[in-house]
Amino acid sequence: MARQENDMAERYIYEVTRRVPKGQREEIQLELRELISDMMERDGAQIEEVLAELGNPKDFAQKYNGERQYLVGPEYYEDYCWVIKLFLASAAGLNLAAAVFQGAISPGHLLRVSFYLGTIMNIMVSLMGGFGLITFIFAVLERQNVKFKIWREKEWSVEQLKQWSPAILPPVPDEKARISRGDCIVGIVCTILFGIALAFAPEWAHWLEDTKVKVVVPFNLEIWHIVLPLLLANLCISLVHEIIKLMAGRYCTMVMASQLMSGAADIVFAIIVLGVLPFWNANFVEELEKACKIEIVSKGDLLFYWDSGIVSGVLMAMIILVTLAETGVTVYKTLRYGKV
Amino acid sequence: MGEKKETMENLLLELRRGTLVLSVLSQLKEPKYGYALVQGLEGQGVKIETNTLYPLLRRLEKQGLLASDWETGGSKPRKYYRRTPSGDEVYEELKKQWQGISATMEKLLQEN
Repeated sequence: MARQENDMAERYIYEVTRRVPKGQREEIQLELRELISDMMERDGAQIEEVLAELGNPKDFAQKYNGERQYLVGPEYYEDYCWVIKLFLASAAGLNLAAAVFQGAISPGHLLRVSFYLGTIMNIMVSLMGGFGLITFIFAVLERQNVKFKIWREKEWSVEQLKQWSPAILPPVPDEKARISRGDCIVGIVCTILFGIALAFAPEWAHWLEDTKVKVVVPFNLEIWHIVLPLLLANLCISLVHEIIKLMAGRYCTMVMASQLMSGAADIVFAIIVLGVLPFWNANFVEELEKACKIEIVSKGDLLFYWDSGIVSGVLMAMIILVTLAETGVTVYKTLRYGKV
Repeated sequence: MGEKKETMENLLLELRRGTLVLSVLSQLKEPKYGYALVQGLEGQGVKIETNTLYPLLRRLEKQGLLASDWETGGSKPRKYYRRTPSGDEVYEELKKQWQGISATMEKLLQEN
């Protein structure tokens, strides 16, 4: 081949082989040189024709690399998707919780725009960073062809066919048995926020007092250190119940059992906190009168009727009734619509 | 209009792709080098693109169906491919399967 033709050939070979794995590069170069040389030996062969016949070097290289190339291939894609979803949800949730936490400890932050901007930035950065890291890990797995499955499924075998019969098909969940995921998530978020608010209530009160706002609390603050852990424990049980509902997605035995326990916990806590402990601030009315510089004497004032015994009784009755109603609904729906 | 042509070409490609491995294997009882294989197949009416054949030969070698040797004796180095014993087995089995499929297809297409 003439010098110029050779040069063109070499340029082509370079374009192809620079896209193939290093280990194969040299050998493929030799192959291509042999091939082009053979093709040039045909009658009237021109280098441009020959190279045009071989086609786009990018496509040629792709054939050497295997027709399909994936960042994350079919084998890993399913696992990749749910890891990403799980991570994104957790990261966003954690960041939000951290921001709420921070806002709760130093409520002054809540007034600053920078706090909200900062929170949004944090969430975005952690989402992008995590997404990148997870994608990177899966890309490595794809290339190394690591054989594994995150969710250990039993290897399918013909044995399963032999034992299969229509009778063991899982039942289609009844529409009425469905538990809305949105409801559960709202419930979880509210429970967490409420818990955080309760936990940092004293700090809130102090902050308010610092800003010269008089705080009169109807609760007995002296036993707060007993009441608070109990309330938080109850909230945790509620949280677990909500998470179980979220995971199950429909009314079933597990949800019913969880509801019974959570309901029982609610009632027990209500009785302990409202009935047994001196929950209410005995001096509430007096403190209020002092703070507002008013007197509550006549029967027209609502607060005249403030009697901790009555208030406790009313609250307890409400909690018990609501809990019983909720439990009743859950049991009914589970037995009627939720096939076990 | 262009879509229909593209569809046709894709389907044709799929059809030919299915027979590619068998046609290549059928020619490699004796050692041959890449371009000779291309020309040999073309001479027998099997159209195969050069940029498809070479990567295919590599792949078949990786799967253990072919073995390769570089001959450095001649004017330029040449890579010769031939079937391995494992390749022979696979080839015979594929050939049998093909003959079965071919007979079935004949019947199917005739009944239309």
